[in-house]
Amino acid sequence: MMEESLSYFLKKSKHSDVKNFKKNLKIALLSSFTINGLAETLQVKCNKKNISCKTYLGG
Amino acid sequence: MTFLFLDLDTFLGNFSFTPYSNENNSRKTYVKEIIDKIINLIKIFKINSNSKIVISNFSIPKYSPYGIFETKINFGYHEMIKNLNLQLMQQIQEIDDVYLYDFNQFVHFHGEKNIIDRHKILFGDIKISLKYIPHLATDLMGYVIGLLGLSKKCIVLDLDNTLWGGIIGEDGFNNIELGPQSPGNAYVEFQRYLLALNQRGILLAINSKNNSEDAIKVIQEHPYMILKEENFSCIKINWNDKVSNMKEISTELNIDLDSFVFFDDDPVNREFVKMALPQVTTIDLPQDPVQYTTILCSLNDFNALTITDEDLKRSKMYVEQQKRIEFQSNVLNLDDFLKQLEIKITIKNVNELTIPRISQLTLKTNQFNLSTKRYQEDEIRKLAMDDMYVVRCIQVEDKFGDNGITGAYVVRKDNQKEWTIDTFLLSCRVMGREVEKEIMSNIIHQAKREGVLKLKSQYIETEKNVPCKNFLKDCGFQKKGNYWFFYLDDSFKNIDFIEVLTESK
Repeated sequence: MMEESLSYFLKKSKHSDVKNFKKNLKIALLSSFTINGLAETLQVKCNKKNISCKTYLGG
Repeated sequence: MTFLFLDLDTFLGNFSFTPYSNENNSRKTYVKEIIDKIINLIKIFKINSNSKIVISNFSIPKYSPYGIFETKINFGYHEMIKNLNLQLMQQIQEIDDVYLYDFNQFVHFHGEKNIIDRHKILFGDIKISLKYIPHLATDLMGYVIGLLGLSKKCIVLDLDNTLWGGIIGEDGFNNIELGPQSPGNAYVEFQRYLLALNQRGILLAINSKNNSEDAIKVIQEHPYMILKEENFSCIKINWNDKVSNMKEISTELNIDLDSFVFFDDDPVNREFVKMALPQVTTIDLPQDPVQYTTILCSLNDFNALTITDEDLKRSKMYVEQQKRIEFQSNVLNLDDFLKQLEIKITIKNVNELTIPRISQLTLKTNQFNLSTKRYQEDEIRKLAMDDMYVVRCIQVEDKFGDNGITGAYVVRKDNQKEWTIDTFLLSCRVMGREVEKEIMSNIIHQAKREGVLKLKSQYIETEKNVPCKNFLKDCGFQKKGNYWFFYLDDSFKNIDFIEVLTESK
């Protein structure tokens, strides 16, 4: 399956449609190395599945 | 949900560059120390958080300073990481709510030289190339889908140029492409992967514009057809449009359209389904059938954090359900049908075997679910151990087979005189057979035995739970404010044609 680029997800995450999501989820990302962009990408992918997603980045 | 990414350099420091500076026993000691650290970390995390944790394992690098001699070394560097990954997996299997993400497989799949970008590592400690972050997120979404019970339940398939090459109505039985040679072997391979999914509980259905007799003959008689009639829970081979067929499949299987994945080689059919039924996941198939299996394998929509016995038997259960529907059409009225079904329900206790299924039912059941409260396995376990709660699940059998555990309830003992029904749900597979009333009867009788005076319950309306809207009223509950009450000096009529067995504690 074709995957969108990271820049697509970064842009999309800034303009997330506000709507009534069916599910809510909090995701924490803890990493011993840099994982820039993963939180934004997960947020957009969750939104596409009608999931409201709050992400927390730590490490 | 918490994702924890650890890299080996963090644990090993310089040792990861000079793994042979120590004896093999030291490498074994390192593995044990790392495992102990990680498991300890998990235990501390679990004390402080209810979150599910997904921990990545470690990628095994291609490089070794020993080169080709690496494989001749006892407990060499590569074997050390393999062993570390194996021990991590084994230990995590024993801990609830902790899952392993196979990062090593991710690197293997996309290629180490693609994932690792030395510039990024040295400049910013970025150990996964930015280009592959979306692929990583796609993998992680599998856990999100599993956690929230959003996995797809049914794959709906076209036939011509999807399950076999060519058009049966034009090319004929002997000329369709399906067999051990290319291009027919691509369709055989695709069917094999579909069969494997079917065996783990994903339903298959057919939605094909075709002459039914021609198509069924291929399914029944073609020597290289992998999928047989019994693998399909619903078959719609006719000249109706795909959208109408899709809706009928949804009704007959009693599965929402948003749980469907649709495979069809024809872009026009796909576009029609996409426009009319956007809730169906319609897959854009390429013209080359060799790609079909790759696309199927790349879907993470079928992920589940637990696969229960009921999942494994699901396809068989739906075939049995079709027999029930046929049987019902030959019986004059519903009462006679239900009486002749020889329904038997078993009220089962909560134990390690039933907890995953009870949790799964709370996560997935939408239609006959009074409160739609979602419970993870650990939460069910805690409720079951709490004397203030009664948690049970219900197995339903009849003359056509075993429907498995298809119902569950959670009752809270507020005080000696009043209990509250926290959760009451029934799988759509067994709805409409009066099973729900017999389960309620069981709750009422238990409450009576323990001297309770009234039962309290709530119907919390959602988009999907209309089927149980009148259930409490039908059972004799009376509405006061937001709650429904049943006074236990009122009588409750048992359903006499259902046999009830109750497991002793």
